[in-house]
Amino acid sequence: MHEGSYLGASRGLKSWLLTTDHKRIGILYAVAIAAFFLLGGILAILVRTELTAPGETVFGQDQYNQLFTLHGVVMVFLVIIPGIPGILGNFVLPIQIGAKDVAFPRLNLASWYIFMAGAVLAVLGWLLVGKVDTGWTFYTPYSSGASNAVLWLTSAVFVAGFASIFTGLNFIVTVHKMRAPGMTWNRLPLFVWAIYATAIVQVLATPVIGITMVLLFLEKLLQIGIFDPALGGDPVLFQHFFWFYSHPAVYIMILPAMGIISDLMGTFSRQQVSGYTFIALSSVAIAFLGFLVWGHHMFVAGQSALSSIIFSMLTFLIGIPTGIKVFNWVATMYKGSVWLQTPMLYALMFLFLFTIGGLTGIMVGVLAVDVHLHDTYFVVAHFHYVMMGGALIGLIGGLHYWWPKITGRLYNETAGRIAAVLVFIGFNLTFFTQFILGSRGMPRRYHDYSALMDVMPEAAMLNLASSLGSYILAAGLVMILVYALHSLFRGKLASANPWGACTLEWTHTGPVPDAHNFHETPLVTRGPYDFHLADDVFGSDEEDS
Amino acid sequence: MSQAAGTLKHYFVTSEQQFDAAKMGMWLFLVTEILLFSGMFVAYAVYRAWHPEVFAHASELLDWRLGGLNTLVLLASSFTVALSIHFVQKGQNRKVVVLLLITLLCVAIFMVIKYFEYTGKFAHGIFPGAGYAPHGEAYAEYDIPFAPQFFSIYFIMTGIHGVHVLVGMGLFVWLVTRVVRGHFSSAWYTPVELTGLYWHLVDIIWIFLFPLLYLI
Amino acid sequence: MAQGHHIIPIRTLAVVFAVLVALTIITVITARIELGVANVPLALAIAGSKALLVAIVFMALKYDNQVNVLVLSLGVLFAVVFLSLTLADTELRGVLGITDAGTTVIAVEAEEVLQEEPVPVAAYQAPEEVYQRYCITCHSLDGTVGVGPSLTGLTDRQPPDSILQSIMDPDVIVVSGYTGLVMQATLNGLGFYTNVSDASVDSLIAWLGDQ
Ligand SMILES: [Cu+2]
Repeated sequence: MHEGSYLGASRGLKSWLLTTDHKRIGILYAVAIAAFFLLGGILAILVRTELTAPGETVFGQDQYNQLFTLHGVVMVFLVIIPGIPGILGNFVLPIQIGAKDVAFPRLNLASWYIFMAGAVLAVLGWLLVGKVDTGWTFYTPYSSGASNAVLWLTSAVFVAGFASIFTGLNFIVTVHKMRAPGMTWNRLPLFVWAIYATAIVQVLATPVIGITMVLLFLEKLLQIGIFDPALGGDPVLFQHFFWFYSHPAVYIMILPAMGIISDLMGTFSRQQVSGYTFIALSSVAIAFLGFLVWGHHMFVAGQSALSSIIFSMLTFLIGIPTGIKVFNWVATMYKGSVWLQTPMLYALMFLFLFTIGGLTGIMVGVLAVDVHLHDTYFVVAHFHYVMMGGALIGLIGGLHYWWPKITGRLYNETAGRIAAVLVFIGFNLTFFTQFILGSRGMPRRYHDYSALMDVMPEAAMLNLASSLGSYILAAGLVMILVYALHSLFRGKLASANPWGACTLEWTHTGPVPDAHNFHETPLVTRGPYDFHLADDVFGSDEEDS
Repeated sequence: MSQAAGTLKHYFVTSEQQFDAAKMGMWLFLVTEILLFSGMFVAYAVYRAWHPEVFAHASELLDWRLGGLNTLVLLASSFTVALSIHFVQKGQNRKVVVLLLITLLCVAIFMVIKYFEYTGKFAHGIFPGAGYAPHGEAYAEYDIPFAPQFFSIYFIMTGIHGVHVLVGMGLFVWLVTRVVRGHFSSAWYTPVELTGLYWHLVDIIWIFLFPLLYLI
Repeated sequence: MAQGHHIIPIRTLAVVFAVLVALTIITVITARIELGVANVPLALAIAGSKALLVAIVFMALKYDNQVNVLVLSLGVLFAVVFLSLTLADTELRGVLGITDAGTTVIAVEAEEVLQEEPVPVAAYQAPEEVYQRYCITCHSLDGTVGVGPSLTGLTDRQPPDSILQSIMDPDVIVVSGYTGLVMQATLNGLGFYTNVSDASVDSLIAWLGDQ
């Protein structure tokens, strides 16, 4: 580690916990989120283990309900939503636009502490008060009638929401005000565009989950009768409140991943990303359209038929900007010289899994079809293809891509490829089977499906396959953890630009960036994927990678 | 300019950039406040549309004179805050202190009136939620379905607004101490301007709450 | 650096303040005059104008960077989206309904049809039939808990009057542990309240006593 690097600039736990360096804050997020991911993953394995066979196998129904609730809450609110913006957005975005830091570094650190406070509230409630079994959606009247632990969990979500708001706010101002000279809007890397679009959603949508949690909290505490039907309230109104945030939240999860994929496609195809403007603006379009479709979660909840029709139609519209991205990624690889390093394997995996996740989303967006598929495993499979196959695979790909920049070391490429294959096989075995199960009518959230065996004898075999898949998936993920740790301590030292990428974090910093990112503020004279103009930049680094 | 130079953070290039960034950040924050309150306005609109006669009837229990007075008090405080920014831009800090103190007085009057409104309701069993049990002359007739919803929404909206007023109060106290210590000049007064923006938004929210809850 | 910042004249601020006070008085007065449907829009229009004045002058948006105007507009826009799409549900529940043979008809048309052919008085239906058609999906007779509670021994728990109320107006009392609104919505959807005569309901209650 050379002297000026952000890792060596100061030492000791305090220098990390009180840092305002966006790169170190990114690492704080990485450590916390890795821990939550481990927890959420273990819960997932427990859920799948219960379902290996029909009938009650390991857990009772109450325990099972608590398991999937915690799995959902942890994965959504503590892993996927903060994941890419928190870790990679923080680390990469300011460098990519040539800034020394984000616009509000202290607020940035505060965001991390607020996020952790939310997590601590969730854990404290879980340990001291009791367990929640409402599912991650907190639907009333389940939640207004459930144990007081709901109060803790809603507070946790409320608090963690502010971390998301402040992160988004910080990134928007950073992108607007902190760009280096020459870094015009059409020279922004597509990752920056994606994080920017995400930040808009974070700022506009998250306050609504905040007030939703406040109202739910008061409903439970004081019985205000807004959401609880027993008091004259309307449970469907709760769903409006919840999904006004939680559908856009899907784009908080997936848009940053799309940004990573755009960067990976460019770098590993050695090619100008095709349709740059379309990809950039489609991120913004998705961010805005995403606010107009929340009612597609409520087709069978008793909302007005007119709403259902409107929401269904608007839902289809999302397919357009999404399709624009997918086609442009494919076009980027076409005639490019595709280099199948581990990050690119994840980019391809994303393309495959996300396309399935997206298209099945259109299917459940169809009114008549959704009546049958609602609350079945089809929906479970759909959103796992989007959230895990999309958002998390994007995050893992991005972590591989920027790993050398973050740590200054390389990981074992062979191990990386083997793990990627395991993840791919495990993921599809886990969740593709669930499409079949769901389309044949297996409902979600049951710990015991023996009643299904008369009409659907294949359910046992398919569920067993799904569970086996989840073990393979887990093995792949553990393998990543192992070689990452190995790389951290024993990995080969990386050069400044091992992938021959063209954005500022690779071209204008050392193997590990300095504490203030750049010796001098870069002057940007070309686009982020102008490989033909950047021969000087990556040509010299090839030999030591 | 020397004072401005002292406040320039290393990661900004110019003071102008730093000021613009701070201001844009504040505007974004205000937008999150708008959306936070939008949830309560949606709840109000839905229940009002469902039970218009109940809401019209229940709102008669709120005293429009007190609400109106509070509206004027808040408008006055917005005016004094705007004036204080005017004078801080001119570097006349004594006037700034006086104006901020008048603002604080307005804020205090607002909270005192709110206190009497709340306790007046509590005394007759008008509570948010299940505690709703109106009693006493002129109150008992409000024991009707969906009146509790009206008062729950009333208490939540004005309560959360009140929390914002209290936060504003703290900010003004903090500003006064900083002005007195000579922290601001015509070259650098960002905290005064940002606090002003926040306070005007609190005022705007009340501009909507007053007619919705007290008048119609 | 201050040279770029616009200093708003005291006169402007004072005029705006005076207008705000005047508008407040106007809104109080107009609200106390009975204007029928116009009261609410008028009050909202006045509040909106006041808010705009505060934003444009007091908050200095008029002199500010355009991006901040955009930020504020987006916030307001999405608050309006939230409000209007939610009201599109809550105000129109049941207006656009599914009628026979799955044909969707707009409520107005449905009303016209109803006006042309008056609904015939529903014929008497045997209690078993009514139960099979409208109740069995949610309420068992053998003690199994379904969407709703089982009806075994119902008459031991509830007097006939109360049972009648539970059928005709299910949300007055909702048995704890069950969700309200579902029954009324379901029965509405099945046309129970229009197609089953009072006599049939009475005999259904009597019949339930024997189960
Ligand atoms: Cu959705």
